[in-house]
Amino acid sequence: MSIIGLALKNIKGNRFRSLVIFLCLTGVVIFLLVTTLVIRGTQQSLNAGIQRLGADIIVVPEGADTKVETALLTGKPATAWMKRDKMAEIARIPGVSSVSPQIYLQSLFGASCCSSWEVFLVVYDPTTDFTISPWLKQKLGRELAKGEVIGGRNIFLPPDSRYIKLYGYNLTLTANLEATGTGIDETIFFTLDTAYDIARSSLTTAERPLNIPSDSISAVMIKVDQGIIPHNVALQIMLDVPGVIPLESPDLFSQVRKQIDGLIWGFTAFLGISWVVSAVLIGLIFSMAAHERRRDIAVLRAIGATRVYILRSILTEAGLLALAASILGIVLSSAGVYLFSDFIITSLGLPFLFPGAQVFLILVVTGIIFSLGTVLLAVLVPAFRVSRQEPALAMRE
Amino acid sequence: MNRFWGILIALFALGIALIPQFSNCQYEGRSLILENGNTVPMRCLWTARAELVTGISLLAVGAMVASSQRKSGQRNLLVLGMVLGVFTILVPTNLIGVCQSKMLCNTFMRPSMLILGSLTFCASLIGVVMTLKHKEKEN
Repeated sequence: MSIIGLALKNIKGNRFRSLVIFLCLTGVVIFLLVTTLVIRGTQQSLNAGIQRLGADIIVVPEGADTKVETALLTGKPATAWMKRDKMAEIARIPGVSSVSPQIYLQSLFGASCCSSWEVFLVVYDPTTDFTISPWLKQKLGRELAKGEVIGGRNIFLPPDSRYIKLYGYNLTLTANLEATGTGIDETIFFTLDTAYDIARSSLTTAERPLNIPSDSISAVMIKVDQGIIPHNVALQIMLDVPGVIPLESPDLFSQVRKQIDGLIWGFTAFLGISWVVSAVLIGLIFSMAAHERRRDIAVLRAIGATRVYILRSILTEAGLLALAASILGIVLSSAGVYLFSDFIITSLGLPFLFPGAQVFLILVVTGIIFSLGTVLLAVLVPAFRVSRQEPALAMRE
Repeated sequence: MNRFWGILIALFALGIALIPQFSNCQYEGRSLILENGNTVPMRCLWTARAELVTGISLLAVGAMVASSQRKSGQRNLLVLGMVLGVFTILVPTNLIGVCQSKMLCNTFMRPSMLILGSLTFCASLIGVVMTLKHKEKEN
């Protein structure tokens, strides 16, 4: 009989023991993969969100930094206003390559003149924009016309409608941006022309008119010159332009990053404890099984099986259980995290984007190695001990 | 061994029947408001009702698999379990659907039904294969 055949017979021979080890390992693999996927997915989502914003620095009115960050992170609408002159002041600062204004608005919620959900609206100026326009040129080959919008990944047309209705104004959804897992996925983007047109028409078509002060903007997107450190430009803005706060791209969503760091520590500690407990439990179960089977093993030794053969058969048995548990754990955890990603976002309040194929593959391989390593480490001592026992003594006991 | 598959299917059936009842928009107090002011339930409520029927049917299938002594009977019931597993998946995805965006029915009920439907299908399929193996041995 081959070693794998013998190992399979041993697994079938004691189903309960095998099931306990299998479930133990599946649990550890699921915990390892789910936590790693959530943490990696959150980090990836934050990076994708910052990349999507496309600016080195975002300047917002003083006191509005938290709500703008929250809006970009969660899609919860926010408005903020500062004088348009601030943009000219910022543009004069050395190291600033280009500036572009943005206006942040919100839809009317639960009003018959608006699509029924609460949406964050971002208005940009196509003549100076460097955040949305390059993407549009690449995807559509043109700028947005008046009455056209682009939406984040989760923006869709209401059922049985060809338009998104905002302030009683019908807007055509031209395209959707790639998923970022952040609030950008719940955001609608359109041009200044469209915004002023909506504001004009809302006086007669909306339950409450949209008011956009002509001399005000909500934020200034900044690109710095090549080779210039954005932090230095941000410091200069703070010194030279009163009443504004510069948000540097790498520092955006810093609260969430701190939260993730906390989670990583907590998860690592819990994972370490559960790993040690599982390894000890598996070691004990195998130790009991080896003790239980010492006569069978002695018979095997008596008919010519070598110590190495015995050792290998026990390690193969453990390895097969670990492999099966890893496969089930990987399938369940990846399917669960993938399918429940929106639930994770809403319940944990964290942005999330399922990691790319390469990262996922690394995680899968790590999961398998981790599971195999745990079992082999736990089983090595009892397997070595039982393989070294004297057949005659074992049979006499 | 078939008692194990029967109990497993019955457990999945409980999830299929109960989860949608607590994760649809009506349960959360949401409904569609028409222009005349009337309210109508969203479609996830009908999905929840359909899943309740599917879940109860599956519960009966699971109980019968667990109690049945005849292999051929178990096999037929497990095939029915496979069909109901597929039906569980199709109700929120194709046949009725759920609401869009980040409502609980879309973020929780739909994925739960996909996972439970898949697990029911796989468990029933494994059960069918095992009854066929037994048949081969008997022959």
